Amino acid sequence: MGNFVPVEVLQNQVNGYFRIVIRGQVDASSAIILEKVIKDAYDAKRFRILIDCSDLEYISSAGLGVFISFLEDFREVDGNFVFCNMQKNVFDTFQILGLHQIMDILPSENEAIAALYG
Amino acid sequence: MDRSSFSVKCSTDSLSAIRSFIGTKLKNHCIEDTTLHRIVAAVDEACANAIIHGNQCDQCRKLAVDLEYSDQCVQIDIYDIGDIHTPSLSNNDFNLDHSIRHKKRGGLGLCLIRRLMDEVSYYEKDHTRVCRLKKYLG
Repeated sequence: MGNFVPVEVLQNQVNGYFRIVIRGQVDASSAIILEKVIKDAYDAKRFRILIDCSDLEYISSAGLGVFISFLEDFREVDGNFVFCNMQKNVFDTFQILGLHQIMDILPSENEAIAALYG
Repeated sequence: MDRSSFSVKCSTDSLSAIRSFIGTKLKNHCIEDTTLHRIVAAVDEACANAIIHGNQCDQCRKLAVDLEYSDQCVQIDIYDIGDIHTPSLSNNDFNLDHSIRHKKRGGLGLCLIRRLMDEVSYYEKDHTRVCRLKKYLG
């Protein structure tokens, strides 16, 4: 884990899906930023979300809890969020909790886009 | 056995400094990257629990982290004077399917700590709550 980078969440609408880029470290202090972005997307009926994790260095249970608590909401409306480009240590955290079996985590952005419409 | 200590105020804003402290101290000890990341994550979770649930983010209070490491083991003791309660360490506390279905996230942090570390224990010493985390190396 490198020097502390405060979390930054970038977002933009791309052809039919919503793209979110998470940068830095999501912990109990910063998870609220992520939660607001996901909630705002849901409220705006952006139900297909691609989450680029290339620059996500760390995520704690507070950040994972955001995805766990929203997953059912998205699936109830035939939506989903799909992760891509996840770093090894971040994937390890998902894996330890078994989230990799429940959430879509793809190696590349193209595969993630395909999964969004799968 | 090498030792280091670190103290912060009880604020979630202190968590990044705690992760940095643990990561920096262990970096030079030839610990495999995934193991190092798991130790840092477990300490972050345990400290977040103590700050939020034990001390209600009261910044007048302090949280202390003691780190001991040898070639065989890394041990972290986290001290706080918050509410003396021992979180349940039962393996049945967190059910992922149930949490997703009911949109709940409680118990996730403790579950993660248990799975990241080899030993997790809570005890009380001189009116101070101590969370002890151990990871065996090699």
